[in-house]
Amino acid sequence: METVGQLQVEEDPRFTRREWRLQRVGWIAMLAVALAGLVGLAGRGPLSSATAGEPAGALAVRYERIVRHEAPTQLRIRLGPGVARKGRVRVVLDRGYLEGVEIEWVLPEPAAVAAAADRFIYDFAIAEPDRAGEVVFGLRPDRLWRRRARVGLERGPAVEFTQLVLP
Amino acid sequence: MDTIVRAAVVYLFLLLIFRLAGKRTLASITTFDLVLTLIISEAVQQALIDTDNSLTNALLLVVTLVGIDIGLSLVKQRSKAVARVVDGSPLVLIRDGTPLVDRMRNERVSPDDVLASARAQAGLQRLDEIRHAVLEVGGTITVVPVRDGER
Repeated sequence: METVGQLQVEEDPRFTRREWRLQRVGWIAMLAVALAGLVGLAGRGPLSSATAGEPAGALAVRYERIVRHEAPTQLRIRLGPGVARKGRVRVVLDRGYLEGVEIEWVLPEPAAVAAAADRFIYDFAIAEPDRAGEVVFGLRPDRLWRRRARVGLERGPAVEFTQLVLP
Repeated sequence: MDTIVRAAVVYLFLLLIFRLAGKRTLASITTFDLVLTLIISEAVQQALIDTDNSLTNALLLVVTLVGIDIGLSLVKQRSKAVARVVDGSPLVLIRDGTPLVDRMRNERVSPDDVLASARAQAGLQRLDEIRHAVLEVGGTITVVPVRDGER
């Protein structure tokens, strides 16, 4: 405590100097957080989007490594040419992953969805089996932190990836 | 349960950010400070409420926020150290008519800011009519004028 002449004021110059130094560190930290957000380290940015599987192969899934709780995200499932059998393709998603998200929409609408013990099987009609196609799931994660996902084709290849769901 | 955690996280986060930003950042100096305050409140409000617009949620939030505030004020009353960390301490900017330039620079206060406070509070016209100026914990600048006959 320091009294300045007749002025009764409890200033603490040593503490204030430390505070200034900490504030400078804090400003740099805030800048770093903003830059990290810009490049996608908090989701929705170039460093966040990823692809599992071979983009030119039978199955590839484009997803976001980092997503946010209750914020929309997409799974874009790319189907290679020739994966359809009799004009249909069956995409299998594991139940554990789907229980952690809300499915807002699926494009195109699946012809049928079947439940198995640990997975859901989406049956899509394919118009041009000789060309590559894509089905898209619009999701909203409602569970936090690390979520493992497995997407596959029935009697075909499967890919696995993990997503980090930020609160 | 998560309502309480949300409220506590938001309270502590805002406290940290505003302390790091400094006393003068949102001290309603410019018109834009008010606008910024409103935008911040709007941004935080969404995360506080999430999708739960129920009265229960609102009441829980208010009770938690006010409760933390009361709890913190009780701790501050007992411990000067905590009070200094949470609120900061006042800082003399002009001492016996001498502007402390280094302090003003570090707190991002200009002589114009001090003059504006001097005009508003004491009707002073010039810097040399100020005996003391203090940057208070709330970010306002208070001035003590030079008394007649002292100069």
